[in-house]
Amino acid sequence: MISDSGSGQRSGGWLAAGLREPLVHFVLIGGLVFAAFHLLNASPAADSRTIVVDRNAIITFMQYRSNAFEGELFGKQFDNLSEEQRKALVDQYVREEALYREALGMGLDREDYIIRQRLVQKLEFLVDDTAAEAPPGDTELVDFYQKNQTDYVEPPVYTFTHVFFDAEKRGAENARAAASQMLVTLNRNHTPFDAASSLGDRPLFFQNYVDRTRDFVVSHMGEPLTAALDHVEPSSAVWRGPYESPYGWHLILLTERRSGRLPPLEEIRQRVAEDYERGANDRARRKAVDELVSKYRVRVNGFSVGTTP
Amino acid sequence: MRFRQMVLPGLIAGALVTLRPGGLSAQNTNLYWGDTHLHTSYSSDAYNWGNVNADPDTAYRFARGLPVIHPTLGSRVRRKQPLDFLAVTDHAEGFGLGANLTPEGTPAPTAAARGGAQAPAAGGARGGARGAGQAAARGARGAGQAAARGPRGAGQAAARGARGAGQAAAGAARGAAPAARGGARGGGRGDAAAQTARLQAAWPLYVDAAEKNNEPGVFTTFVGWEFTSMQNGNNHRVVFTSADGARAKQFLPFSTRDSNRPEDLWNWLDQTSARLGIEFVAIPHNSNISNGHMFDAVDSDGRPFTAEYARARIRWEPLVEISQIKGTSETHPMLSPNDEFANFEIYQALLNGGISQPTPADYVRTALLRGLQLEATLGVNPFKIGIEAATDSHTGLSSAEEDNFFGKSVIDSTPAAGPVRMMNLWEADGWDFSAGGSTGVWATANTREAILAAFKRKEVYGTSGTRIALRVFGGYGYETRDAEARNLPEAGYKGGVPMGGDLKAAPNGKRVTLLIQAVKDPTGANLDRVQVIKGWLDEKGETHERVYDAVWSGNRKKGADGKLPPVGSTVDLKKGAYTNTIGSAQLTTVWTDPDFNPRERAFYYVRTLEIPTPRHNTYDALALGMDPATAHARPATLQERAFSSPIWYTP
Repeated sequence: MISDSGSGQRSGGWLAAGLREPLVHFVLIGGLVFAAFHLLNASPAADSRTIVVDRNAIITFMQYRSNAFEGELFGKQFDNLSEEQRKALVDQYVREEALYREALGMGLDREDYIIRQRLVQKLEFLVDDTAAEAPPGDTELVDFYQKNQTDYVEPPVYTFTHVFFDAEKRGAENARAAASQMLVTLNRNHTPFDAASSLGDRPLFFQNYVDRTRDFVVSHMGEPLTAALDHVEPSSAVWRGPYESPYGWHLILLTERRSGRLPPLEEIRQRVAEDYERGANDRARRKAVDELVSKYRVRVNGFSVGTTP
Repeated sequence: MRFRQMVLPGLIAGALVTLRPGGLSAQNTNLYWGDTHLHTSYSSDAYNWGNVNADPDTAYRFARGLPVIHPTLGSRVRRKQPLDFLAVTDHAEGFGLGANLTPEGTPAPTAAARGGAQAPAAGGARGGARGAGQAAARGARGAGQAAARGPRGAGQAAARGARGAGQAAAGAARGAAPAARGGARGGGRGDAAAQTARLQAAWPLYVDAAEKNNEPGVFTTFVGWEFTSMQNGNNHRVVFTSADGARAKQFLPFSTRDSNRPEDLWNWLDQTSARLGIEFVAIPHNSNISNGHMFDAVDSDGRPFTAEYARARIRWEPLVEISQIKGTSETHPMLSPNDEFANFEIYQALLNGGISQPTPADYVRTALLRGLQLEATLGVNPFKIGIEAATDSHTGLSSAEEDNFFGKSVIDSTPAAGPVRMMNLWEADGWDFSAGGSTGVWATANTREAILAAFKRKEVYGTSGTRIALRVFGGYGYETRDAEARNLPEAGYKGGVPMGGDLKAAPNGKRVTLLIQAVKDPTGANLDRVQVIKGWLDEKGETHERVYDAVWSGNRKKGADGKLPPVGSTVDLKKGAYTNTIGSAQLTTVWTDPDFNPRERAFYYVRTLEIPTPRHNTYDALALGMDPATAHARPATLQERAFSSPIWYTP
């Protein structure tokens, strides 16, 4: 294990080095606390041969056993148990606790890869928690927003309805002719937005497109038709076309087109702040892990790996 | 009409019926696309395969169309077409990690307190060892097993509680591990504290990521997980819930640490849904490598099904994942020798090495057939399963497109990794994987409740990754003009039941008719054909299956053998390109069962095929300067497809 080789390295001045080690501090302080605790309470729990079972221990045990976490509910459940049922639970609890202590005593937790991984991952979560930084101040946020503008640019959006003439059904030429003919009628009658759904052929995808992004419109209608929409004035009275898509011909009532824009920071402050914190936390986590690892000197025995980290 | 009444029981589960007593109509179902099976760095296998940083939040952000950093390439990636919903489903077996139950109001343990807790534990350890001797050594194996089976060690020290420990993190954690019972004992501060215990660490963070990214009406997230049962082979299930974050934090996901038996999972789902008033759905996957067990007609103890078993199973597992990165499980050429399209994305590499032999218990079509038989004897059909599909990607990035496939895991996410055997044990390389699949959902709204309700009533379907829009309705009175109707779905809902529904005994002299509409993926390939796959149980108790070509593109005529000529191919293997100059953008029809027997139980599902397009290995081969035609045993092209959920006929 890494810590073993580490202490081997320090064999020269282990006492001095050791006194600087947080772990040693914990053990020492912990030992004092434990001693004080022991003196004040003379708690039987401190006796390794005593298993103390109380209501809380069993309620906690019940919750882990059922993978369900609602202390109050399990408290009630516990209170309603018969003595016999309680005994069964206590027996299970005691069995688990006793075997657990025995296993620890025999060192079965060592050289167990699952336990090793669990501990590593627990530490990663712990590091995440401790590495989390304070929310950004205004200057940091503005700076971050300006550096990452491309993430926040909103694409152009379109609102329109259409009357479709299916080329597969009618043939391309007939579809176009029918569309041209219908265009005159639509504009003469001032046909409204809602009426489109009863005219022409059944559209393949959508009847109405409301605030749809340019990419989305292109995916349904093709680039040439979408590009044509970029060059007309939106209007709720004028039908335009016919325009060709990969599927036939369309008459379009484009009622709104909003150009792409960068929303001001005030509008998306929360999202920008979240992105900032995310990036900052990632960096802080990496830094914290690097710091932990850098506390170890690594000695590679018997083969070469170039420069040691 | 009698069958109308049969729709309602199915809807009750979704609770929609209480809002809309008239049932669903065409105006209120829209098509939503999503992935119900995705792993992130929280899954230990994904982590071991190189995904150390694409966490659940990254997964949700990518799926909803926000830019994220690719876990291997380090470059910025963004989905062109966002998903509408996503369930991140990491292996539940990892969530015990760091899960600590601590009483609310308990001050975060200080480093010193944790150090202190170490002392008695160590003392206990030594004491135990002293008296242990030979007997204890023999008992060690049993003890180890007990610990492995049991729940997470009760009250491990609260690792996450060390907020503020700062620099000391390493030392603190070193103290925390052996502190063992510290948490449980620390809880002994009076009943009130223990009663409002809270869960800490991985699971709450995971739930928070789902909660943060859920935006009703725009993007739906589900709290989910994978129950990774390896009992007899791959018997994995993904599970997800419509619960909000607060309620999802009141349980820990049921995992194989609790039990390997699906029966125990269903029990737990029963209890937990009743306790918290929430809904779940569990979906088995990779039946194709279940080694003859997923749809075997015996329970975990090898006993024949009972009606009670069948009810529990179909209550919680109303669907199956038909297609994903590890292959498609619809059927196998050996099981369906007369189905010329059965040989699609077959994958038989078992997770523990070796190749699976196809059995009727491994594939969806045979399971549906077996369900008819079981229903005839049990009165309940345990395999009345709808159809969906998902990726099971371990990269944290849901990608199901042939031309933009990020691989199963981080280590096979580049073209060069395609022909390399990735997982030491598996008889498969990166090109044996499929770039799929996706689920289309017909739901009333893009919310947790509405989408989960659609799963429950099986108004969903699976694809090999493409976004074909597929509507299927079953009834007795559809007429040809309904297929041409301007508002086809309205005619569909009015005249029968949507996919996933039930038809009861046919009116005298009537046959089952299906109203079908298939529309190409807007950014994908044209359609080759629409097929109806019928399975039925004859009066002798034997099952049969038949594939009907219902409608197809172009002017093709069926040959003397009843087969429709192939649609052809426009794929240019030198460029990895195709054109939509063959096939149809849309195929609609009203299909009437020519072999209908009103006394026979049957199911009908629809399969829609695209024209051939390049498979993902072709793009990789071209990138590597190889000839796609000869680079690999897998074909250079494929016909992507959609599989509807069935409609059942029960006289």
